[in-house]
Amino acid sequence: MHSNSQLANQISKTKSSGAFFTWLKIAWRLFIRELGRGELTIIALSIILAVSSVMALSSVTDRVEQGIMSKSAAFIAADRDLQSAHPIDQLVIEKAIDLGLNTDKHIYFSSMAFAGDEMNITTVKAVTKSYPLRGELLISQDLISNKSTVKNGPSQGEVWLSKRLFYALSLDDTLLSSDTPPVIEVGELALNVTGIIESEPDAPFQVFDSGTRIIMNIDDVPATNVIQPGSRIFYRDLFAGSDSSLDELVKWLEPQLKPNQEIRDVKDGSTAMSSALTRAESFLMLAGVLGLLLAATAVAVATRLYSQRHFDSIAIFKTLGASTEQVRVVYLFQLVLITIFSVSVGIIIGSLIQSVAIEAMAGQLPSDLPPVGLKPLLIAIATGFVCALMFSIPSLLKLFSVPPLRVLRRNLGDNFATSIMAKIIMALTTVLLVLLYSQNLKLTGIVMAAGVVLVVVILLVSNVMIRLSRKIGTSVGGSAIKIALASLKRRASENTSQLIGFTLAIMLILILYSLENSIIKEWQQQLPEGTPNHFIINIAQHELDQVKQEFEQQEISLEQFYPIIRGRLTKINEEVLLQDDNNESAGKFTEGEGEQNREAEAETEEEKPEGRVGIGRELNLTYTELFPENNALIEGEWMVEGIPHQVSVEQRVAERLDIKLQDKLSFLIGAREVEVVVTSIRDVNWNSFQPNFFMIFSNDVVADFPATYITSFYIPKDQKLWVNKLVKQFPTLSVIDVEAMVQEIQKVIEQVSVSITFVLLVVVLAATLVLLAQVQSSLDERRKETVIYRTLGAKGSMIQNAITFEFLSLGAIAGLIAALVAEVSLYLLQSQMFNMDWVPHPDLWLIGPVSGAVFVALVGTISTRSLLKMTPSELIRQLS
Amino acid sequence: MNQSRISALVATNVSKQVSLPSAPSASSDEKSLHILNDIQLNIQDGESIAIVGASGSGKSTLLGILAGLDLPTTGEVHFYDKAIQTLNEEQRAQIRRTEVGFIFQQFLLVPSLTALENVMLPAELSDDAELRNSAKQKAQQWLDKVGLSHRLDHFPNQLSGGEQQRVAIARAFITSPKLLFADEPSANLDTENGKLVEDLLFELNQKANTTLVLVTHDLELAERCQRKVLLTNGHLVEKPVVTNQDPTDQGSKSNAEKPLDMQVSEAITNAF
Repeated sequence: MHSNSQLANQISKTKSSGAFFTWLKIAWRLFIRELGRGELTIIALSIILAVSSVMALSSVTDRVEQGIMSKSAAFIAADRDLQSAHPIDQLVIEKAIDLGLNTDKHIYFSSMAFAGDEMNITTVKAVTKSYPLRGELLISQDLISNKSTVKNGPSQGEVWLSKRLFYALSLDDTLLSSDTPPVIEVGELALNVTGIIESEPDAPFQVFDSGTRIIMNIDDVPATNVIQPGSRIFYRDLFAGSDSSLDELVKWLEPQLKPNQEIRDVKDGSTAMSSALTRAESFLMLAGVLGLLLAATAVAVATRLYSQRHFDSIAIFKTLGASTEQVRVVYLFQLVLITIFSVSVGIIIGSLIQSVAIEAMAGQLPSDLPPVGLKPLLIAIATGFVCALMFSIPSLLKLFSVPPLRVLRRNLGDNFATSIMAKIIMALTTVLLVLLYSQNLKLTGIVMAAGVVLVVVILLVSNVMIRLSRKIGTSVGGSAIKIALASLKRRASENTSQLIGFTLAIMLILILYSLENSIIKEWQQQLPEGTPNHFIINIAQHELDQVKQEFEQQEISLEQFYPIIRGRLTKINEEVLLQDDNNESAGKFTEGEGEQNREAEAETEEEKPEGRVGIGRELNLTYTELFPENNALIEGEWMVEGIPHQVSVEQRVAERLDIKLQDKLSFLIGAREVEVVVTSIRDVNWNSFQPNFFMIFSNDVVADFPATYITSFYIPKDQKLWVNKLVKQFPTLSVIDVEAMVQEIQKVIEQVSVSITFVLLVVVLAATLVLLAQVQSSLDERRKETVIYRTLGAKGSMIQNAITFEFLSLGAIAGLIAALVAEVSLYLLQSQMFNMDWVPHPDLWLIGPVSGAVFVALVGTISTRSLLKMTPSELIRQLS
Repeated sequence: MNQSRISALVATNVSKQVSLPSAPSASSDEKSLHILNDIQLNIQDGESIAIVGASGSGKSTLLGILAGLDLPTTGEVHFYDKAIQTLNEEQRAQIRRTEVGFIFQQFLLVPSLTALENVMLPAELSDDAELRNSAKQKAQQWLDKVGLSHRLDHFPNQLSGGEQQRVAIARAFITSPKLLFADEPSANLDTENGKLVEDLLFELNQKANTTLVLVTHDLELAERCQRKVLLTNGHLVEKPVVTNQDPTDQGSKSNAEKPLDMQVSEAITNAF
């Protein structure tokens, strides 16, 4: 047909740039007009929400995380360190410097320190001038005033002493800042004492150390001549700098690590600090992801509403002869304009929120917060565009397929189902967003699993409920309830999608609320008020009663006294254990993280093929019949009556040495060999600031061995001087002050708690907007119904009650499902992500439905109130 | 009728059925509803024709098919020699864009555009660069012709029904279409405004010499067309009207002798 080729020609002509420009002009005009008339409010708001919440969440969490990380980096006085039982190749430091990192080098050893006639065994930490790379080193000039100054490492010829050593060597603190400072000798070298160590960022927390310590310059070490072949020395290289350089260094280092060398970062190990940080990180990430999901839901709901409202316009466009291409260009461009506009506004609001939040949390946050990076901004922009474009696809596809015939048949296109393809696109986008944001496969998996459960449960429940409401509806009196039930039933499919929105919103809040609760609670339990801040060791048997009395007089409560006997594990069930001496040095001197699980951590994980390797050094053994606080029985029974010579073993040691219940362990204590049977295995909370032990014997095993005692206690700051008196009275006692460490940890926990609560708040806001968008999208339909009811003379109060009741029941159903799915998700999250024990959350099952009903009814009733204020004729005018 | 004039629109054996999703036990024939049966219609270029029928008679369906918004189940529609049913949606849209204008009962203006922008729209969608470039100027002229030059920047919801329909008329004429479809153009208006709109429509139509296809149940309005056909139960009955200028025109079926208004009222009675 000749006309067809003519047509083709004409159509191709339309693709000229002039025509295209005109289409963009139409899109721009529509955008400006609709924006001005408030028709884009909901979609713009939801994109703004998505962008601003993602921006605020990720920049706040980013900053808080960075702040906390750098703060906790102080605990190892660096971002990463390399520990070694052998001297570390100079190449490592050179490589680090090449990568632009700051470096520091430590050597640790034991030596005698002499001052005149006095001498004492001391732990020496030799550092460079750049120590500490992270954290603060406080050095004071006298013992009383507590006035200290921030310092870097000592110069050559200088040495700083711990208070304990200062006392032990009977030095005069008035000379510290004089021209003739006290002098001590370490090995063959004389050093000027110029300060007292008030606080070291990487202070050791070794209960069994005497607390007599010095810090000197590493370049002075050779002159001491202390280091001889066979000396027990421990080496550390420390690094600080950008993450990328650190990662590169670690990548370079890892393949060439020797046995007994180990790279650590702040999060390694299971210290209170590191587990708090990992949890906080996971939580913030999860919150971010959930915020993202909510925002995406809001966008999906809003674009659906947008699309519904544009059905007629599209039909008119098409009737006027607009080609599919024209319609697509015009409306996609309009969407792009909306997105650009909303993303820009979102970024402004997001930065405002984050600066307000940081301001509000200023008291709780580290003072030296890093500036906002580019990352949150980029993530927010990407989220805005991906959400707006991908989540609007199903709605837009529907919109584009509206037939022109709708101008004659007014409801044509209303019931077009969302295509499976569109659903797949949305699901994939969601997975992608979560994966991109969290960069965590496990979390993504959990979120997806929860999503599937959510959808399945909702489809089932909404089906049953709506059927049920039909049955009840016919038998129940009260016209408001009847109308509400009828309305629920009529909008079954729309309600299902509403239900998904409501449930999602409530569920995410429930999940975060429970997690926030349990995480913060667990932290608080970990270090409650009155957590012991001092340890006291080396209490001789004969001093025990006197010491107890002193404490009673001072009204300070003590933890249990544990006797300590040193011994070596030699055999398990007659199998002789290999004793690897190299392990020992690594174990003994590992410094830093400030936890007493040092012993457990420093042990090598390797098992040699010839046989089990023992612990490699003497252990601190104890005996008690009293089950220690903060321990948990994992297997067996605590000190079974009637069995002689029992031992209770710590779980991780048991695992590593493959020790089972009923195994027979042999210990060499002094010159005597003792055989005991394992009757229980305990989990030990190493973060409890209480004496903890790998091996606890029954009283009958070692009670006749000479022992010293250890205990811990809490003393308020203002009574601290009493401790000095105590030490003077019992010169052999060692008191270790861990107050600073406990406070640091408590502070970090407090900071993280505050940021977590803030994040929860943002997510609640996001959820509210989802509800609003969801309710808005049903407003048009409700308007039509209200017109009919009003025209038929229904009382405003009755319609109001009907709407309230409908939302109440929807909210309650959503809350119930939310509780169910939240419980499932919490199980997955707590067991898989947070390494917490899952316990049922009965409170959710109440909070869910009740808060859901109230929340949804409130939002729904308020946003539909305007309908009832209008007269039917106003409503009709709005409809046309 | 002048046989030398060309045909603007020819419908041959046009039928429309829609299938009913319910009643699974029903036979295939029972499952579908016959809306239009074997419609024959030849509309001459420049002619004005009224399709009259009671509500539910299939008027809107026929209009949809004639205008290329919908396709017949069987039969053919030729629009100036182009077989509409062989064209795809894009090609039909192209015809609507260049050669057809529409006026609807519900006005159907784009609510977020002003009166001026609504009138500009078809010109801007046009393939004709000249028309696109002069869209604003032309729209102003047309709005002036319908007496709304003082309402250019008003949105549809700020205009009365009559004003909205006048904007729709301006919009319909701006592309100088060959064919104009009007679906109950005054049904949503009060008598006075309805009359005003009708006058305007016929006046402009006459001036532009556009072929007009008017669908209405209003016999008085139908009277203003040169030709009237009655749609009843899906069948088209062509009938010279009593007041017809050309009483000799053919019209052979059983109730051919009855006046049109009687036929309509019968059809309406039947429909109930």
